[in-house]
Amino acid sequence: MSNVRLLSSDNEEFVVQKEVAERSVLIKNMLEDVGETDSAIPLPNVTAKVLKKVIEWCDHHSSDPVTTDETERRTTDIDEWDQKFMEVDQETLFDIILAANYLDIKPLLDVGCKTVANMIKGKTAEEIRKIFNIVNDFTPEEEAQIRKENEWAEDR
Amino acid sequence: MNDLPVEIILDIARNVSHRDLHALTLVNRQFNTVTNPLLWQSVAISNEDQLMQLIQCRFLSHHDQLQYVRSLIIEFELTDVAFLLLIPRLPPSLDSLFFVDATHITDASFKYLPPQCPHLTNLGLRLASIGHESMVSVGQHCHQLRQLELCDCETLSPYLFAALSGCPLEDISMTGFVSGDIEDDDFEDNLKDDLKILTHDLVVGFPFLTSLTMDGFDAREYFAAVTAAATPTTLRHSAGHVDVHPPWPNLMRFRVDQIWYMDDDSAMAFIRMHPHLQDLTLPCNYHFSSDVLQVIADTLTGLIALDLSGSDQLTPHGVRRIIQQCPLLTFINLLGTNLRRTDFPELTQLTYHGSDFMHQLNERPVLDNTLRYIDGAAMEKIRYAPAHIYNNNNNNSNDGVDDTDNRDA
Repeated sequence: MSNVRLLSSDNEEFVVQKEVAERSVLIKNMLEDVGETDSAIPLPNVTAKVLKKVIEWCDHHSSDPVTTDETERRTTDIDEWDQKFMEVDQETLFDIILAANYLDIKPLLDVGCKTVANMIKGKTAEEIRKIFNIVNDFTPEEEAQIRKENEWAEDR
Repeated sequence: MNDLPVEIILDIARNVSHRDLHALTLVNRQFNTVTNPLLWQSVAISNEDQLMQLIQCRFLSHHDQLQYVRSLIIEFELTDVAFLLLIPRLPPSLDSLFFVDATHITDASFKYLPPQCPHLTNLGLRLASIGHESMVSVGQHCHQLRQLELCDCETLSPYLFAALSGCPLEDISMTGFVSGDIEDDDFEDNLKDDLKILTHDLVVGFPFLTSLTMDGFDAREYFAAVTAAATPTTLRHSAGHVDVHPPWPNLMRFRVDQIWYMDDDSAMAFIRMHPHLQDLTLPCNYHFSSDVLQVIADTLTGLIALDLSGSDQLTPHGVRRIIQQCPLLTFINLLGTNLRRTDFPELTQLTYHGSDFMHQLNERPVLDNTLRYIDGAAMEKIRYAPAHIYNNNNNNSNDGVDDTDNRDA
């Protein structure tokens, strides 16, 4: 099993099994294009702290079958290991999601989005703003208008 | 969260319920822009006020919510006039429309729907008072219609499938079709005439059909349409090796309540022509022999659900063979058949669990020896039982049961 070297945005190098690194479609495609290489692959959008977490996830899931079926991924809940893995502060959670998006690791992106979705479940708009520290930029009139238009969906 | 790109907010929003989506539209402008179209993708209208609000919303606000709607369910008895008002407001990209109760909907409004929404793929109508004109309009405009459900629409013409032959229908469900007044003396003859027309047009017009649910079916017309030269008689001779082209090569579900002009040979030919069947209902008015069960067992290896209800010449051996040869089978409906629980000695050793249907039977074995259906747990018992268990039973216990006369015939 050959190894791949990955370089984080803050210049920390990680040596990873090729099979693990290839959970990232971006890296997989790069390796296919470049062929055998000794130089480290630079990942300018991912810090060492986040890259470490992403590699941990890829390592745990390195033997998962690659699912391309959208519906299959959507219907299953988050497994226990992933739930534990995602117990991080909010900033890290969003960094992991952004990294998964950039590195094109769909199952990890999916787990991240589901984790956020679970934080939203059953909450009001005001509660969601509070949890994620979002500023309400509606005028009171706009908010009332939307509330009225979308009233039908409130208890569905 | 303020810095998340739009596509990620979309990914998150796709994982929440409709109610949570509603909350997200109120969070802030960015969230509203992303999630509002998602919220409005599938809409259910449940009363007149809501409908009027929808129809007027373009005049009240800057944006038109209806443009996002892809799937619309109308849950109340909409009037013809209200529907006429709604149609021009529907987006041309609407792909699914379902009426829970279309009692008041007639051709006067419905015929204008297809030109407005030519991309419809799914259409469902219950109790609609529409006739041929509407179906002609659907056939002319909706060239992507794949699923059609017509339930208790009593004013439909038997020529509706001819009108719809321009639609690539895959899933057709038509129940509660009537021809004239049930009190009339010639009601049944009329119905048979109409079924002949319906069956013919179905066979000729829909090569992509995967699912057919109907009250009645004309087997003779089916075979006549399959090959103009072949009659059931000539097919009878070649029933073992049918080389005619099947009209619906992808048929997976066939649920028909009544079937006319069907005999064992044509039933076997039909089954052999549709080896992909996963869900099969054999009509209760047709009494097939164990040869048909054998062909099912040998041909339909992907079978998941089988309905044999009302059939009074079933053999336990024939049913058992189907269970053994169809590994995916999880349900057989046996309501009103001649089979009794004692026909399957494998089942007497089954320990039933709380929610298991068979549990109830087990509590009253003397009062109720009927076998209403065989479900997953019972199926496993039968599938893996050692042969001596049922072989012994079939030799001995027949004497003890009253109605075994026609079983071994």
